[in-house]
Amino acid sequence: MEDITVEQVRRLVEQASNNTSAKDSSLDWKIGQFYRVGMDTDSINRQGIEPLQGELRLIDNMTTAADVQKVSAHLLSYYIVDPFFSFFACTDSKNSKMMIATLYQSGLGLPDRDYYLRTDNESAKTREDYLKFVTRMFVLLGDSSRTPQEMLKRS
Amino acid sequence: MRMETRLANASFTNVENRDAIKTYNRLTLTELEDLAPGFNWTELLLDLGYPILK
Repeated sequence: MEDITVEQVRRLVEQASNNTSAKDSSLDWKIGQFYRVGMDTDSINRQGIEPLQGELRLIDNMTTAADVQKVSAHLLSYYIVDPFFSFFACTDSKNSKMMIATLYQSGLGLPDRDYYLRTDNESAKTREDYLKFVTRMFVLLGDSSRTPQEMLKRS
Repeated sequence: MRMETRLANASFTNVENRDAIKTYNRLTLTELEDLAPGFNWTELLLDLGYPILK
């Protein structure tokens, strides 16, 4: 079933992106643009982290709890990145005619709470690997490899 | 890691998350503000472009 759906979506998306006569801002145009941007790995690799710099600066410049809230709201609204919790519209499960604002737990990089709290050796190893992964991400984002490692030691 | 572990501590388990009653806590904005006063919920809604319905 999923295979069929994926195949159908691919066909729809490719049709839209091949539709050179799609009017600006039409649905086909939007889908086509989005698809081409995502498929253009040459440009993506060439630009590297440059498109992220503005957001990284926002994060760097946070000093107060109010700043943290402002930046989270920005990440939530522009990128659906949910550093602390998710917030979205969902059907009211007691009244299917209503859509309501929904808050949901979030903010964990590992799949769920057990990964952080289990004390067995395998889980401890997973957490170590996770720290290595996060360090690598910071290095890819331009930190020297020492900075994140020192930071992780303190964290 | 410390921050995420604190979040993990406060999180529901996978089993709790499947509990439709436990995860259904409908609140008005005022009730939410009373429940979690450390966060400016009104400002969040305004930032996200939603109307304020108390």
